[in-house]
Amino acid sequence: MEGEMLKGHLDMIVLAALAAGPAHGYAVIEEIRRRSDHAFNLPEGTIYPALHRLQQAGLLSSRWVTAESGRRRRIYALTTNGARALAKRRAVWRQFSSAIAGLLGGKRSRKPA
Amino acid sequence: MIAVYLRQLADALAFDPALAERVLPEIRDHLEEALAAEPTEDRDEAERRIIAKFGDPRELAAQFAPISLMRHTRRAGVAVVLTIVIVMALMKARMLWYAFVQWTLNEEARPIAQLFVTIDRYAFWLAAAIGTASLLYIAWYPTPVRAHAHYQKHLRRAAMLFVFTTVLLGVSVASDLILTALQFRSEFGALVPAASMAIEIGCIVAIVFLVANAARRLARSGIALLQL
Repeated sequence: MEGEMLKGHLDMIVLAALAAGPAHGYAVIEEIRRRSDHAFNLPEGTIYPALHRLQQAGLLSSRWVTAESGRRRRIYALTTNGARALAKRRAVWRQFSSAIAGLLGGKRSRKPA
Repeated sequence: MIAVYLRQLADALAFDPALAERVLPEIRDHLEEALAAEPTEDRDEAERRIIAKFGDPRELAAQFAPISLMRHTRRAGVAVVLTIVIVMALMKARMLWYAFVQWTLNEEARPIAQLFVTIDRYAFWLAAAIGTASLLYIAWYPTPVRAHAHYQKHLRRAAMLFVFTTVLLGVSVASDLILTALQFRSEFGALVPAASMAIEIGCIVAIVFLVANAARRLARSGIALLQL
């Protein structure tokens, strides 16, 4: 999928990946790959500015934990505002994709009688 | 190879060392986890592939720049508004203290005191209005993916408003200082106005530092972004 097209929806994609539960950056990328059936192939680093930006906007929270490997790891989770923002973006996206599907499918709306 | 990549990223994030300190361990963890998941036994080849998938460090730093700029500008704004609240609380406390210890002005000092009371009042309320409006203005602006020209202009406008608010607060605190000096008496009760003035001056020095730091970062990152 086109990188620029993906970047425009990156925040929504990250929020959707974290809707499954708290995760660290690497796990978020794995979740995006798995759920998109490997269709989304952004540079992996791109996810970190998005995570920080969403946290700054109050849509995510984060905490540091120590992983089994002994490495320090930052875990992100959706906040209440984040869950609300995701629901709103989902609704807008459904409306948008249905409109585009209608347009590209060549369907014409019926004129009122 | 991962160590070299992290050093390059640290260099690219040099515009915000605190941000670099927070981001680098997170990215190191990511790269090491990706390395552990690599099926190949050729470590060099695996590292090369992981770094290629992760992306260019300069491009990554450019995406962190708007986050850093927004954080520092907002922090300066919050400090300005907090200072407004502290200065107002201290002014009110001093008034109450003067009434309690029954300190009054000399007749000959009254006209000059009246002038500084007027300057103080207008400077303070103007600072309160501009400072609060500027913080709201910046709080509602979303951080973009890239620090585009419009975003930089928006942040610069907010920083200028914070500079203006700081100048007005400085005028208000200077007027407070003159009014306090006009009423000052060498007695034990003088400790209260002296301490409150010291706190006000300390707050002004702190916000001058924070606002100047935010403005300097804005200027420096603007140059850095042009080079990216």
